[in-house]
Amino acid sequence: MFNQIDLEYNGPVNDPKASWLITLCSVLGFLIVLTLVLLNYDAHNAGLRPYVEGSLSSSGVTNPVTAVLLNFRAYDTLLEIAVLLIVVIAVLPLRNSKTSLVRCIEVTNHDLVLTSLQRWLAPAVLMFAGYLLWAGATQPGGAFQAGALLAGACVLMFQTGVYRVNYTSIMARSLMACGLAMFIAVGLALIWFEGSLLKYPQDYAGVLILLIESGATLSIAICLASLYSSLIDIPGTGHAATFESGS
Amino acid sequence: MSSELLYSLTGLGLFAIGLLGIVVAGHVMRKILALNIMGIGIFMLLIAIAKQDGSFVDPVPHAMVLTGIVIAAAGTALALNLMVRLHRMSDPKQGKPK
Repeated sequence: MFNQIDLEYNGPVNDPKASWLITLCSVLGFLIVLTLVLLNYDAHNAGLRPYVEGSLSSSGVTNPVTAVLLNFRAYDTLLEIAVLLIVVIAVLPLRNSKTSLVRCIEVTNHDLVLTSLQRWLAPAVLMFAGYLLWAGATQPGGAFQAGALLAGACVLMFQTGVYRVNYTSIMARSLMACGLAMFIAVGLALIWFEGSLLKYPQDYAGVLILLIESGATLSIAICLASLYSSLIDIPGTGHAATFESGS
Repeated sequence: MSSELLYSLTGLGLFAIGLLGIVVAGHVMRKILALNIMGIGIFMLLIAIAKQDGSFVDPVPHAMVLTGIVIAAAGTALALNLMVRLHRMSDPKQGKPK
């Protein structure tokens, strides 16, 4: 059945039409049950909102989503950044190269529109990401939105082909790890001072959250961008040269 | 019909489409896409349920979705990478296995 590696499933299928029909019927039945559950769902229960609103004043931020993400459920966010880092470690080549983080390469076929777009857009994206990070304390925004924007800037940089971000360099690797490292460092320091993991003292909560978010923004940006480039790593298109050490 | 209910039902529909896709699709790429559609349906349902009477919003599902989006993106990237590796490992000259 699966003795040879292939992306298509070529195992025994008795009757494709019948199995398709059975699957469709089961999914439809499942959908009907879920719809009935949803229609009978009591939407007027308050959820966890009263608890969040009750302790929002001691969380250091005024945006409830940021308070949940980085204060009440900070452990979740810590694990999330860890998962992102683990995926990047799984995807990235093991060799690390000695070249610098960003290199300018000579390309013969300049895409004038993309290049000038990147030249104009990249600073604006950088500034907007900084704003989003800062605004996360009071409005919708925060580390993830800012990180995604920065990753978008990196992808744009990749698309123009003029600059190469070398994700295997030491600098990129330390940037990827800095978010988790900062998170764990703050957590351990809080164990020392407060006696419990990620239980912020009320006076310093805002500062600590901003500190963690800044590290997380950089990490998320570089991690997402490296995940993107790992998929585009096609031999012969020139991008593979990024992963070669020193060349 | 309130808009929350409409969004919830749309989320359920997306979930069902994704589920059907995972079971029926032949190619791994389609399965990964179907898994993403399924995830997006669940996110949509969570966001719709978070909206309570009036303008009050439960922030906890929002935070969960925000976490989930990043995890889903990372998981998709890992799955696509594994798919590409699998494709390169299999010898295309050999043709399809019987």
